[in-house]
Amino acid sequence: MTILTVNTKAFRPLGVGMRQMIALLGALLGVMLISPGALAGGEVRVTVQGADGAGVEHAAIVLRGPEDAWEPPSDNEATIDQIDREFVPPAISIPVNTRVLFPNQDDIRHHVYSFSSAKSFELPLYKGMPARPIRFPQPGIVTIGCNIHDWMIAHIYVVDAAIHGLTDAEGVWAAADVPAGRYRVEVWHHGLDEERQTTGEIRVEPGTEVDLEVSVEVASRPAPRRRGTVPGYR
Amino acid sequence: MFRFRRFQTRLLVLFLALFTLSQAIALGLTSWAGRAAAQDEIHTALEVAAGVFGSLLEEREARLLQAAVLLADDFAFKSAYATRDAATIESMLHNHGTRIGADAMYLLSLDSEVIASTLSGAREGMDFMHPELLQAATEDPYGEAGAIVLIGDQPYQLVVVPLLIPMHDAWVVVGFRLGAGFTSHFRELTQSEISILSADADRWRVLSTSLPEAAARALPAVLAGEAWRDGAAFNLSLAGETQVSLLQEMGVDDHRRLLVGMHRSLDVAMAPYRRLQQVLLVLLLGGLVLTALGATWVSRQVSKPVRQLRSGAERIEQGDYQARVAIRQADELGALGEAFNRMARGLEERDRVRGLLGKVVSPAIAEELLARDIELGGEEREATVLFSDIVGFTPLAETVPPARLLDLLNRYLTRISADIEAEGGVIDKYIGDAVMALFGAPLTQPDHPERAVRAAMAMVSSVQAMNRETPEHMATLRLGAGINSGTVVAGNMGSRSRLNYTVVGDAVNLASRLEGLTRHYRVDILVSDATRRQCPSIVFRELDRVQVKGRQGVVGIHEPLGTRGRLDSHLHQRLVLFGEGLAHYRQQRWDEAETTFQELAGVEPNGPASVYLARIRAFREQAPPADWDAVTRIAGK
Repeated sequence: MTILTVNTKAFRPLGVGMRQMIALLGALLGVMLISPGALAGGEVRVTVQGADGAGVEHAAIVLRGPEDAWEPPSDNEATIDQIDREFVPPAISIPVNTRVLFPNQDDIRHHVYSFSSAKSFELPLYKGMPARPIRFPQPGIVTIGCNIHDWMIAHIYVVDAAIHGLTDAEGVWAAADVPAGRYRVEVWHHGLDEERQTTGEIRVEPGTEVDLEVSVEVASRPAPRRRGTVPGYR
Repeated sequence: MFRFRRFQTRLLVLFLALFTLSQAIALGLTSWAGRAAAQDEIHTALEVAAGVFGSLLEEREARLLQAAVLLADDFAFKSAYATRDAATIESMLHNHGTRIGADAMYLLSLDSEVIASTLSGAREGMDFMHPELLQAATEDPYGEAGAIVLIGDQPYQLVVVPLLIPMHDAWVVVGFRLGAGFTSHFRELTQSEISILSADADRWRVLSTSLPEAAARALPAVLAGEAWRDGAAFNLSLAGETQVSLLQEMGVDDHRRLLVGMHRSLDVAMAPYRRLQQVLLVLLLGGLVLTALGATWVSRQVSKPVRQLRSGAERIEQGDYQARVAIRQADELGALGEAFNRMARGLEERDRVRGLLGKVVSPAIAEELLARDIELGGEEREATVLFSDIVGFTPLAETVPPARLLDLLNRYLTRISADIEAEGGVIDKYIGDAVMALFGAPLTQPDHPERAVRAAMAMVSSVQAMNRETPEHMATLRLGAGINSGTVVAGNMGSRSRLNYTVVGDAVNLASRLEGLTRHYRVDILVSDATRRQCPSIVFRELDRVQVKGRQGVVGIHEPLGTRGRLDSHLHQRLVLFGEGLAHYRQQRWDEAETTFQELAGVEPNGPASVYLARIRAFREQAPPADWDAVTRIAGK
């Protein structure tokens, strides 16, 4: 069993934007090479922890592989519903060019919008299925909101790599049958100072399991007020 | 030191001084308490004002934050922001700022760079001048904060809220100037003046104030020289008025401290106390007048009776014992007046007694009586007693009316009393026409026998002179006097309630007997051996040796003839002849004796010689016994 440790560094100096100060505090990258098992590929498991040691949910893990020429799929589709005045799910990771549908399951209208640089769009007040899906042609984090419900927020990680996924409530993302090879591991999160961070490289060998722990510092950002006492509002 | 001679003045000055002192103390205390109360009032009011100021700012901030949040949540605002076009954003800031009446609007990046602003001083790309505001917002869960800052030279209340699209992407800063509107509103609320100030080291600037212009102009210079503590009231003298002030720090902005000052005029707060003082002053003056009147009245109450008492005492000093004071007061002075009157009455009484005593008894006895305690009892002393009697007075009573008789007697007694007193004798008593006089008691006189004899001789002359002066009775009155010297008991005798100063003793009795013998021997004065021995300057002739009734001893009796060395030949002849006659008589040579006495009788017709001639005639008929000693036995008085 080999343990590979990768140290990350802070991506920007502490400076004027103290508000935005986010540093990767000695992120510890632990890679565990486990003895050969399966035939085709290995297993990768990434755990993202915040500064308090708790897992960071809905961080996108992107494995940027050796194959430089990755072609995004052209027909990929995804859906974010609006149920009970919440986006469900609140985060997805999709490859570039994916068309996302925003069906409104509530009996009131929603006004879905994004001013994110990766994709700016607006679906003015509508009910049911919107007229068309929204295509996300650029990689990046797109934050969407509802213009009449300030607390409704969802994050769409538009990824330009084949292997990606979101951490669960424990901050863990795992992938099996990862083709052998060298990968750069990236952690994307809207709360990070630099939204997309390369934390290091791993080597995946068939039948092995790579276990990676990443410490990040997620900024606590001002949040919109919620009227939580009203039924139906979370 | 100056002294007031008059009691009235002294009392007046004392009363006025005490009253003025007490009133001055009261006035001073009132002034002090008034000032302290005014200060306290002001301090409380200033603390309240400071509290109001704090909550006013908080309320304002909350209101501004709500407005800012509403603005920042406006979708058009967000859409305009999403254009990333600075001109558009700036235009939108102007528009939206006008909606809530903001004086300044900023849109800032998360790196606190200016994206757009409505102020010409903050251009795109510049760093925001108040990073601490953003720092505070970062630490707030909703990204909201407020602060008082200086923009240019103007105080602003700034609030910052996050721009959420829907995640936090920028800061929206909204600012409101704390200008005249704010200060006048504050003044209306609290009735306190307010100043918003900046201090760069000791350089003060008034940014905004509700103070009058003159006071506002004076404020920076006055503050520069003032030591003050945050939140503690202190006095500032501004444009001739004392402004109690309280300063509070609101923050530091770019090395300049921002402060708020609250002021209240001490003079205004003192006004009610000043009015009270004026009233007190009027009361003081009124009180002074009343005190002066009261003091004058009281001092009159005292000094008038005192003056009366003084003049009364002076009159008494001058001997006017009838002096009385009339003090009709029921106090100590009234009692004193009564005591004075009682004293004067007592003195008058005593004076009258003394005068009476002097008349009733001899002045010397009166003095003796007054000088000592009057008590019964006496002392043995050597004295000479003189008894005199006016022979021939009694038959006069039959022919002269009683009133005239008494008048005559009084004239005689007055005259002979004067003779006795002239020699220092003391009239012991008058017994009808008889007088008993003392020499050597009560006053000690070493030459009392001679004095008595001289007095007796003067008395004889006086009676003879008076006989000549009163022709209607033509020498009918003759004085007989007996004098004896010896040990007597002198003192007060009688009963406890009524007593006499007198002398008693054998010597007194003998004197009385001698007086009685003058008629027998037809002489004016008879003196005992004891008296004669003590009269060296007087010439006597021995008349006889007698044994009076009741006495064992034989006494030689003598007649004074005059002062030694001044005897005339006539008297000398009588002296010699009598002496020869007496010698013959004692030797029983009757013939020689008779011859001699007859010769003397020719010179002194109605004198002692006739007594002896009669005796000789009797002895011729019946010779005396063999043991005859030539002593005459006197049977009766």
